[in-house]
Amino acid sequence: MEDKSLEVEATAAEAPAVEPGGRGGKVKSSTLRALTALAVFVVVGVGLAVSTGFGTPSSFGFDQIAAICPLGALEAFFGTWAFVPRLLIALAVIVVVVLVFGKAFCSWVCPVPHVKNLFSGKKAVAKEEGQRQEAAKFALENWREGRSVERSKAGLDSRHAVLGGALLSTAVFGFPVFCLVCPVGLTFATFILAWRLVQFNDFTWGLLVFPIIILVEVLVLRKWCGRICPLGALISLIARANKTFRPSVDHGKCLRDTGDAGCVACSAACPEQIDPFADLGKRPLDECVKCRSCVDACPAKAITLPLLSAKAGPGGRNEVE
Amino acid sequence: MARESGEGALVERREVLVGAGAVAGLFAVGGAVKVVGGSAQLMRPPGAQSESLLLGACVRCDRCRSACPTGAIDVAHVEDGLVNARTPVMSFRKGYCDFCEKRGSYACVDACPTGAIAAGFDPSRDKIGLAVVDTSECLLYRGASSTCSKQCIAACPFDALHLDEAGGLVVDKERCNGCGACEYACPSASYAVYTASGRRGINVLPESEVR
Repeated sequence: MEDKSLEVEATAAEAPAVEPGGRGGKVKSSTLRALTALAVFVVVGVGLAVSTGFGTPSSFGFDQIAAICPLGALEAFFGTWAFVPRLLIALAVIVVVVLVFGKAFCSWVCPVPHVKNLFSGKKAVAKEEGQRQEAAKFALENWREGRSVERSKAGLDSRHAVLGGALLSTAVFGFPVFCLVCPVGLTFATFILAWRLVQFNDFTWGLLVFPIIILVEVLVLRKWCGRICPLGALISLIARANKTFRPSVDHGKCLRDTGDAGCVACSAACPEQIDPFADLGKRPLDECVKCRSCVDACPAKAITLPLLSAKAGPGGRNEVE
Repeated sequence: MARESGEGALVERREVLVGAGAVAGLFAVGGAVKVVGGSAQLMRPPGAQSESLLLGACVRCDRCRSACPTGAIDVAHVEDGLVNARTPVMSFRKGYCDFCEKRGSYACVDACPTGAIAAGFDPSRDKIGLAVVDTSECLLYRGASSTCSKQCIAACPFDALHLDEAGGLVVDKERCNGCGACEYACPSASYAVYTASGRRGINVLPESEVR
């Protein structure tokens, strides 16, 4: 990256010092996230090249050991009412993974945010920036006025309605309806079709139809992740019990505690409109996708995503006891 | 949607509209696909002969296609109907189904996470499809001087092919299970004049199209 700290460069001779998790790390989280998402494509590509049966994020693994998209698993059950033990085992594993990593899938694996970024114009980017600033202001006002945020107790929103609709429509029609239009599945389907076009010269209209569906979902329905995605809805339901890797503010460092009471760097950086400082944002901390945008944005380097964060009031220190 | 009276937590009207719109959209997609989505008869991997089970449980993950050691599994495309797109179909141009005899278990069944391809296919009883001789492509039928070394007969692991008295190729419909070895071995496309028909001298077709 740009800034070269001389001492580190001199001692660490072998590789350019990359410190993925570290505070003050040289690689931005957004770069790391893009690389991780790209790595998923590489693994799928390797699977295509050497016929390993790795699969796609819809279901990936080796031989009989495979993870599966939790929504796909539920749809398969609603589509057939067949009891498949390995489906339940895979689901249980996914639940454990979500309990540990929360909604990290959404920002680290899912291709949708990247597709959106690639095809978003300046106007759309500016609009979203404005919405994030507005959400940050909302959280700041709440904090100043000592207000708590009014959130529905059940914490359900339109995404959960879509989740219910996805399962119900599957039961009614007898096939996983959402799978047909899932932007994650279709992105990898497009990748595979493009691969086979190059490898075998197989052209199919899917090469046009799939990207059109994806673009309609991601660009026309701009609020896909926050308002529609039933997969995100399902993961967020499980992620409510997630206690690990939650953004934790060191109130000994945070500018709001130490001087600049108007700093909204973290909440203004959050793509989920969460307020990492006091959880007074438009959306609750449970929706955190562990993207580390707040960590990168904090001018005081006061935010971390520790394995376990001790509860600390303002002025307290966040250390695992 | 949750509407808490005490907290006064009103769900935004927009939230309800978006949710209702998206659910309606899903039902529209489901209904449209159900109506026009595909009546195409497709040959499925061994163990996926129950079409309702396959379509209901398949999450279009691509694992079976990728796992097939012989490359005999392909995926259907949107041209085969929207409901069939990305579901597994058998294609015997890059390989044929040897029922994973060396492996001991079917790779596609092992790869399928949802049970859409289920265990229990018996090659001596169940069928993927049925081989049909195409007399306009088969070299034995193309002109008096045409001969063929009959790779199909040699390739068939189930002794389902033989010549009749007139020298024509005959398929034993009882023995044939549609493994595709004959179609894969058929040299018509390489030896004969290229007709661009996309067919070979012997092709495996869905059982329903043959009977």
